[in-house]
Amino acid sequence: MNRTEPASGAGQSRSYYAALLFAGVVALLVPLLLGARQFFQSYFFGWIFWFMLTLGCFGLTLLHHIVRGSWGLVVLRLFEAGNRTLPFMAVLFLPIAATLFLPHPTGAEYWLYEWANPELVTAEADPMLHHKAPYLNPTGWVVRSVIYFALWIAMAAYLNRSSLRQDQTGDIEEQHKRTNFAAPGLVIFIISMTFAVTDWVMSLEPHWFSTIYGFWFLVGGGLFTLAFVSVLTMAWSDRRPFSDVVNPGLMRDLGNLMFVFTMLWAYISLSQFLIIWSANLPEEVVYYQKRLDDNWRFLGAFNVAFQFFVPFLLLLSGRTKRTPRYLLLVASLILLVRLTDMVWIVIPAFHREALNLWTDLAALAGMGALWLAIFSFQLGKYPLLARHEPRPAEGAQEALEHA
Amino acid sequence: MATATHVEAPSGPGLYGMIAEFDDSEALLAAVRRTREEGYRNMDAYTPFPVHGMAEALEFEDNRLPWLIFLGGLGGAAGGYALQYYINVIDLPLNIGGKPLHAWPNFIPATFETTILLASFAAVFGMLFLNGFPRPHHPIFNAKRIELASQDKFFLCVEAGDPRFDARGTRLFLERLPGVRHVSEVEDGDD
Repeated sequence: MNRTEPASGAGQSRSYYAALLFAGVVALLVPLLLGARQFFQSYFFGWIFWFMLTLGCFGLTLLHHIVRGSWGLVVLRLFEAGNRTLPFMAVLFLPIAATLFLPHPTGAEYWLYEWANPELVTAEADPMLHHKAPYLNPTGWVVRSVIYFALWIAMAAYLNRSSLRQDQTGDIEEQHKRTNFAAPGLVIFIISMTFAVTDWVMSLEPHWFSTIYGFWFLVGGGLFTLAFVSVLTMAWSDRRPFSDVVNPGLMRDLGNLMFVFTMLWAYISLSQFLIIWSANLPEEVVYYQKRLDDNWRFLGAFNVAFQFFVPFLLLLSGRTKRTPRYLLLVASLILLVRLTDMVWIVIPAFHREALNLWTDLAALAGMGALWLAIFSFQLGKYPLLARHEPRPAEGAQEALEHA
Repeated sequence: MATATHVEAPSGPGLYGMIAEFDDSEALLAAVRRTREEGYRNMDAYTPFPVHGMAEALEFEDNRLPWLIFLGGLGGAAGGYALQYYINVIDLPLNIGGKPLHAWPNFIPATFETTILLASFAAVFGMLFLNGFPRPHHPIFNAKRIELASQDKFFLCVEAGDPRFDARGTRLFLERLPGVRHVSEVEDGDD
């Protein structure tokens, strides 16, 4: 087996990308049928859902460069391709930022963010938002958003370049540089990511607050990303180069990581709910009142069952983690429930009279087509397996020995 | 160890197995794989620390402990929840902050803790039970230098119960394994 020329990524033809991009843009425009406000809401939902995958890839890249586990090396190129969606996601973020400065819609008085309309933030109209205005105002929000993207794009570019350079030169120093960079980088990432999620998602309901919110999204994004790379590696497990490195050890690691993140998700979701439910303070309970009223409670119950109990019990079993087909199934289930969980978190914040969930799903599919087009293009640029670490994945090591 | 002088018998009921000593875990792991390829099945490895991949190399398949732990956890969850329900709803109903007596969200942290507690008990005591405890002695302690298995040496013992076992042939086979330091016989018996 020729290890010097690992098969390159899933490069596709130009018409494949054109079709994906076209379908994506069309699907993103579908919500316009119900008006501009619905469009922005659905667009935001689609964007934040897929952006959690980008952020998850970035966070797990940082984690990998610190711990350098063998599982991380196998999926590092997937993470890195996810990192390179960052600048594109920043461009796709522009319509969301634009909602702060467009003339406010008649009737609803704001597009996405209530606090962006100065008339609603006066001391008379809303003392609470008035009090928060020094932080929660359009200028500050835009400046902070620019800082988040600049930080993440610069950090990701540095790590990606160093990783590719080491593949070519074999210079071990690159790896120590990455570790030294990623350790403080992870701290910076978690802090900036908490702020970003607070600014972008939590402020959809600006009267409500939760200090665990950032970590909630961090864990959700990590789970999303682990399920995503598990689906890819399991689906490609009989194809080179993954056929050389997908072994019981890797599958156990991916399965156990999904298991851990599933439990973390439950831990954080319950903590937030339990604290708010026990304190029973008016400004806090509104969040859950909205989400446990009407039909939202059924979706919430579905999420508890299928984001926690079902994957938890399935991943407890060693057989699930040994069989590529079962692991693929559990990871696909987690992907689906990441979607329903984000629906439950984001959509009730829009206070819609009619649910019209189909526009959100259209925007989600559209943004997904764009994201996957960018991702697969970025993935096709470099070999699918990084091979620079002195401690290669055990599977790769064995493949080398058998060669 | 009174019988140590006449272990020269080629094989037979007096023998527990043949033990080989190695300096590191990689050599042991390779030796285990090689020995299994040779067709031996009854064997065990003795190491100072858990060796990654050893259970797979030995093709150790015993699911009794995971199931015991699962049942322990299940019992812990049910018991912990039931205890809180009994205390808060039946035995001593108190109005706390206007919450319902059956305040299930508040029951979950303690239920989680009892789940972990009983699962851990099942893991530790189940492991001891399945390992045959309480058992004062095991023939492997008749092996020379076996105390080093808890220091810095790695051992592979091919047991006499294996159909392919043959004192001379097995000894020759083990002595030719790469990285092997000593090969010696292990007597059977509890004394």
